[in-house]
Amino acid sequence: MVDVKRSLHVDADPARVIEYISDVSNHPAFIPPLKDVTNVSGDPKQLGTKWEWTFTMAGVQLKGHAETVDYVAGTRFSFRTSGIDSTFKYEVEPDGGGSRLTATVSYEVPEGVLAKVADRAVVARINEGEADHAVKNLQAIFSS
Amino acid sequence: MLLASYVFLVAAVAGALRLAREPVALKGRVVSALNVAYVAVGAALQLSGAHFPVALWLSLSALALLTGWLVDRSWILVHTDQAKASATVAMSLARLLVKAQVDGRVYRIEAPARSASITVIAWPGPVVVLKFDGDWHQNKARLTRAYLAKQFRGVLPPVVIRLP
Repeated sequence: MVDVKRSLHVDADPARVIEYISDVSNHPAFIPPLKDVTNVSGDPKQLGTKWEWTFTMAGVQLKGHAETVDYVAGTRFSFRTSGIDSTFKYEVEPDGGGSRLTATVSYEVPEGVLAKVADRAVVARINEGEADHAVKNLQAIFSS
Repeated sequence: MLLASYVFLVAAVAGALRLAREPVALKGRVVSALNVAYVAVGAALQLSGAHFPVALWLSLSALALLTGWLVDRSWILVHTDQAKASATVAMSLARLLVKAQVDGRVYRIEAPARSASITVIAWPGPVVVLKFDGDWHQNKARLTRAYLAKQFRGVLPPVVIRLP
């Protein structure tokens, strides 16, 4: 498993941040390689809610499923994906009038991607860069 | 020969757009870059002694550059209509928490000291043009354009691997 962790300050209260992030249809707006989220089976705040996604990793477009595994209002949201074996965890806490958001992603590089880019380290480096873009995008979204 | 290959390229793009079953975006910047490349290659051929009539070549080059300049800040959307394109723009702005003033077909993004807008223009047939004016380098505007790009397929279909 590869782990990516980012922590950032955003100019919004924790409840608003987790409300925004738990609406999984917002994810393509701030995660650059996530093309779309479709067929959300219900409210993503409810455990067991499922959806489908399209993600581009190292130039390979992948499709898979995801499912909510944890949600606590104003505190945290977490989901697991199949296809690409991964877990996304978002946690927020008050931070100087705004929030400190910590995003942790644990994932396995899919064989389909390794077949194209034969170096796991290169794929991991690309994903690290995408994580940096995602946190910058979230800061921009919550900036006034 | 250069002109024939350019006409073939335009015909291939037009064919791909016509055959697509979902909304497709042709970015004006791509058209503009192709036209500049065409003019540059044409100039190189002329300087190396090609026998293409100079007046005709100059006219075609001017037309190519003018067309590129006109569409440079636009996206040409095929297989959609003005209402659907407007709804896509509105949805994208909402997902990015972008404050915007809507004035008919124009969406003006509210940002301190800078201005940017998207105008949704209906063309004949199932064609709509999104015209981007103002400063599109500011963070939210840049994000808006990147997110809008995800709402439409490109001219070439992507390579997709389906996972279990």
